[in-house]
Amino acid sequence: MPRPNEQEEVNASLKNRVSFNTFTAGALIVFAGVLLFFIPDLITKPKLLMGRSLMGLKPTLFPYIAATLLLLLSIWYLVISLDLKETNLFKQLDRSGAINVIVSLAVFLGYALLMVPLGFIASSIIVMVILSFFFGNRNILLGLAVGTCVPVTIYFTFTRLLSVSLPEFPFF
Amino acid sequence: MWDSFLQGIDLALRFDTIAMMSVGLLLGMFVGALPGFTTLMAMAVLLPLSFFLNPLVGIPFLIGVYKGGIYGGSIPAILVAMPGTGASVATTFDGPALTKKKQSRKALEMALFASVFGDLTSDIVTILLIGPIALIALKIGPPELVAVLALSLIIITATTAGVFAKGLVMMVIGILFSMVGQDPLGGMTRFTFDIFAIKSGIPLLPMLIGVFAIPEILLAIERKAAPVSTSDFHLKDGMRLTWQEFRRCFRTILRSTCIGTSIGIIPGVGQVVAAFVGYAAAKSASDHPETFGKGEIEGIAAAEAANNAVNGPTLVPLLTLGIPGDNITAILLGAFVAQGLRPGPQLFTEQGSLVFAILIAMIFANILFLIIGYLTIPLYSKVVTIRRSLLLPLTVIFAFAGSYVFRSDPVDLLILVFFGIFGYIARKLHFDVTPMVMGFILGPPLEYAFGQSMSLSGGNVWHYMFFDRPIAGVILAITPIITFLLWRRALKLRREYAEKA
Repeated sequence: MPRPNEQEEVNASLKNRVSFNTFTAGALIVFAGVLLFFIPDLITKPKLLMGRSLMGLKPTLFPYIAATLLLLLSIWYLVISLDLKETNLFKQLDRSGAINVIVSLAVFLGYALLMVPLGFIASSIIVMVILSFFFGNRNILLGLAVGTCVPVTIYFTFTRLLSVSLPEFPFF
Repeated sequence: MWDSFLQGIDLALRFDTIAMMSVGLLLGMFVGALPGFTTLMAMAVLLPLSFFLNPLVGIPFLIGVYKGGIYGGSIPAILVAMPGTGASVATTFDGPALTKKKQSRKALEMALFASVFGDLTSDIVTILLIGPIALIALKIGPPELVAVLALSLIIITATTAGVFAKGLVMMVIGILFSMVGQDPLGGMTRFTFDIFAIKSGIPLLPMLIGVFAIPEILLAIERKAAPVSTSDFHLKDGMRLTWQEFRRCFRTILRSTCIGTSIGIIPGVGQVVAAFVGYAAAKSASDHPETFGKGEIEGIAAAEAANNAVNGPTLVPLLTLGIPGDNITAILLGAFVAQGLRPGPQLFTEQGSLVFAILIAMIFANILFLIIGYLTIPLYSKVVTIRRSLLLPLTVIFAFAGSYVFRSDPVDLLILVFFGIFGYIARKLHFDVTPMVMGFILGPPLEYAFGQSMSLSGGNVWHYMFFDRPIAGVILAITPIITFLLWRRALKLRREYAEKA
């Protein structure tokens, strides 16, 4: 029977070995399990003729194989995660870096949602000006000039030269 | 095959092909020269431009970006000790030391000449090899295709960065992503959650741009960096490379070219490994290995010849079997698919002259590469100092525009952002996205060939695979052995790289 000190040491050792990889592996195991459970509901059933499927191979077969493989690999990943020495790079991200990324992602999402209602040129000018000032450009004239010229150039390159469409503003 | 080759020469000699290749080379060198921007990002963002050009213009354009980018990565590696691509890490061992000695011009010239030689030689080897391999590939049926695709997926995963188990997990996630939409055999809808926009599946281009370009942008955004350097690098008036110096390094360049060409044919191994192996071989063969790492021009020649010699042969598995060997060729596959061409053995029978025209265009690209590269060397000191505060938003605009024009569907922009976040999180948690992309691209043909094999087997799969189709059985049997050997070799090379870094 291990003495209390030895048990504490074992627990501490196990705790030190648990890392972000362990949690990620756990999440993947749960995901694979849920996927396996719900596969039949997420795939359209093939039509039947006289009680027999019109398809030779079930559309669920490959998904079942892939999901099972994911489950097994995630279990393997869980086991080896206790010995991995990788560092979670999110922990190395400082406050300003995190803010930079979050603000940028918010701008990207806004751009994705507003490109069609506002049109390519208007939305792109807004995004370019905001991002260039946010990323440290302090020359207002340069920021506005580049922020206007670049979207206009890209718009005309795609629409006139390559003959593809980009969202148009109601007036231009 | 010979007739296709001759027709290919005819098709390749077009003004617009050569003009767009030059544009591609310039863009590739420009992006490669920017610290923090990668060739992969450039290709992902410029990919949509190739869709709306003739295949004989669009694909050589992308190849120009690729070649220019690989060389361009050596520019910041030499001038400011920051490799522009993973392939130019080995160039940082000697490049910055030469810059300190005011020999940056000489270093850039050696990098250029070694790159052109390695690339040109390997392209010629590619043209010689590709015909016979395509003829063999034509005899492949569904069971052999299943075996080859499975082997390729596992090899690519075994040789990418990071832990093998994590790579396999990403590969399977990619296969699961590829199942969204309609199954390739019966057209049944899967995993769409009744969302109409993804009924035909997740579109390839926004996914590629999202997973390759957006994380790079976000990583650069984290630092909100100022220009890297404002030094004068003495490129206009610096010491030039002499003929004697080039001749002294010629054996090294030849050795590295052979190394790069051999490595390029194997899916998944790539430029980084080639550059390191080439450098290590040059150092051990040298009469004065102690000078390597302290500004030895032979070190630059070795690394650059090897990493550029990968460019041509890496197209062999792509064009003959439709299997992209790395993330760059995955993007080239995207270009082919968007043009309505499906790389694989049938491409040689249906569009043989087009394939050879593209390969011959690669040879012309090397000649242009030499001329353009030499003339633009004095400009690079300006390029490395361009403000990121203006370049990053420009890249974002281009990425979004390119994703939209693919299907003119605003949902693609949301897919772009989703995969951008996915790729960023993957990078932070040490997951390589390359296996995921390969799983996504190769999942549908793997499933299709698997379904066909099951039908042909008549229910007795094992007997069919190992006795009726012995080639398939042998490939499946040796897959674990090859995987283990490659994984062990890649692990050893990565450990050496980590020690060196």
